[in-house]
Amino acid sequence: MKAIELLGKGEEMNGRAYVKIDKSELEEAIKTLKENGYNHFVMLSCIDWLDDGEFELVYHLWSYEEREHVMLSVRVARDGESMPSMHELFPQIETYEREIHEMYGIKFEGNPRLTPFFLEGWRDMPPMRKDFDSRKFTKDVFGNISTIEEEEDEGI
Amino acid sequence: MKEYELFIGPQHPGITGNMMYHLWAEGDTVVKAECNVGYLHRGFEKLMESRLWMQNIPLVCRICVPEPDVNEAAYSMAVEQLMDWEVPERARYIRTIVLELARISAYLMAIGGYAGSIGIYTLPQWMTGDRDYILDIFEQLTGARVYHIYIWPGGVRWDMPDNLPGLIERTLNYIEKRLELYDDVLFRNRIFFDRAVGIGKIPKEKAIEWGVSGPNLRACGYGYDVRKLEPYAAYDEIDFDVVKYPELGKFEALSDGCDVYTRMIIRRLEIEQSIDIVRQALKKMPEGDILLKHPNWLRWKVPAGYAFARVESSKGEYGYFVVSDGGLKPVRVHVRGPSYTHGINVAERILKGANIADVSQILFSLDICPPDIER
Amino acid sequence: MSVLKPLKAWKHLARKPHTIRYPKEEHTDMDGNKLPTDRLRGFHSNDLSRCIGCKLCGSICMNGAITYEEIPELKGKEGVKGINIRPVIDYGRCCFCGLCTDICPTKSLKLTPNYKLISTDINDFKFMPTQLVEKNENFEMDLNAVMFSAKEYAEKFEKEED
Repeated sequence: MKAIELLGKGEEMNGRAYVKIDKSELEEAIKTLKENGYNHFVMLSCIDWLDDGEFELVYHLWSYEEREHVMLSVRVARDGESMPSMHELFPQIETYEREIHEMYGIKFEGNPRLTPFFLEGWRDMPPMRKDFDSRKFTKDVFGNISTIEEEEDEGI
Repeated sequence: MKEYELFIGPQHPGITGNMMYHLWAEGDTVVKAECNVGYLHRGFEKLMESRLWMQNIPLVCRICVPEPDVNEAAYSMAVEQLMDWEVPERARYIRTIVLELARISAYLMAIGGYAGSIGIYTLPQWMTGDRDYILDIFEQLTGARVYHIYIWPGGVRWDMPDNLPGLIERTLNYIEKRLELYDDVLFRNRIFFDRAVGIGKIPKEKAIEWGVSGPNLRACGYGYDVRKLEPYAAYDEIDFDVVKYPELGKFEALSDGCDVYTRMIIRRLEIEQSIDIVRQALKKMPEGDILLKHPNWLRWKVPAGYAFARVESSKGEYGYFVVSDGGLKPVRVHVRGPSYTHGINVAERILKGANIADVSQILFSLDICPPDIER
Repeated sequence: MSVLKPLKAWKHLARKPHTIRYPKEEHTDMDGNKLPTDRLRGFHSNDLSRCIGCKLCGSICMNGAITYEEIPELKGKEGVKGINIRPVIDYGRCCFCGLCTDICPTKSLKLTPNYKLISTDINDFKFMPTQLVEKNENFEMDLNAVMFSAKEYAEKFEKEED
């Protein structure tokens, strides 16, 4: 695969190039790929590996000429490690970073728009983290609302 | 002139769903636009992490309401990649038929919505009515009108009933006949020419870098279609040409592309293309199995790995990124919705300098669907 | 391009509308076949004599719509626990995906094209499906029949056993 040749490392996984890369090499790698035809930025995903204590950020790029998909995987520590922002290379990364900042709490340095995206007035832990217990949250927030049977008993 | 703020949405007939655009305007001209979402977030991606592989199928189709089948197809394809499964031949053809019918119904909604946004209110009524005939087909094939839960990992859920190919053919003939009427009312209408040409331009050289995909990209002159680039279902065995600017068939290329006019004409032409694909698929459909044998759903473990599956939806490139650690449940399912880029980055940029009266038609021409921005 | 072409829409004034005057008219497809067909996923029907009370339907249900109720009149094999329980479905939670019917080992639980149920009482939407749901051909639920049939069915079942 061309991306593996360009970057000099990586493996093929289910028909896609999967390249593990260090945080410091990331900008250079995306620039290299962009100059060599990987000009469509597909998306930026984040995976929470709770047992490893790390977040995995996956940058997906696609080349229309080579018809190849490459996934650049960067790992950052869960406890507050920040990432450099890549929004100058592809403008839509800004939105993805904004979402990941809100949902996982990773700070992207240099992103001018890390404002609330979906959530409003959220004070809890970022909700997409694996240790966020959505059942407990629902119980705490909505559990105090009485059920219909109780309301009927009280004559509401 | 004094600047003022204007909110389009979330309750506004000129918005494409439950979302809001915050506009700063001077006189009639928009100087800045900001997309505001969050009215529809249902936490699907978080929910999927706590469900079994099979339990996610009834959930994913709810991500996009007008065209739910692309979600089922993309999720199933990602799971098939991880399982290393080969889908039976007949199932691939049935998938093609379902996906193309869904595309037609989504285009009917999109074009109807667009026509409403420029004041032609007859068309939304007709198109919603005609779309219902496609839903009748879905009801007989999949057992539901909107959320089909039909495309499963390893094939499709049920075989096609015997009366269905005939019904599909007659429905397609009907829609083809109606297209002439749509042409008269919208696509050859003076109002459409006067209002849509040259409005809402995406700069051609920036289109790919901004992540534009689907009909919006083809309107810019790039003939990229996932059905051709990375054929899934049975698209590699079906003969069709990608519709792109400036080859607009019987319609004139009035502007130099990338505008509202070209985007809507591309959608109009792709309805015909989809009708042709369904007909070919019906003709070529082989006999045989339709579904691979599933393991016990309650104890179904999918091998560890990363899989990305992409399909072409009516709105653009739809992608599912599925991560498994070899367990009963996915570690992460991330959905790449085409509206994520169209609705936020692209719309915010091209709304700058637009007339307030054109905001709604620009948004409809991009075919923004908030459910796939907020999963 | 013409200014007059859109006026063709006027001829629709003389056309029969394609909306259905329910319930005077029946819902049909383009060929005139009655809808819904048997494939529509509506309310469940359950053959209580074939159901073995294995609880698989409840474990695949992602909405937690299925709970179980014991019917003491149903006698199963001796020494087998949980054989006389039968699923009770809460249609406020059910999403009609049909995974419960596909996982059912005896295929006693089925989805029927029966989808109409009107009630002002929220509790009416939680009941034990029986075969009566399937037998109702008008596609409208006779609620009384369904609600009280489970017990009657069990009695009849016992008589047949004897």
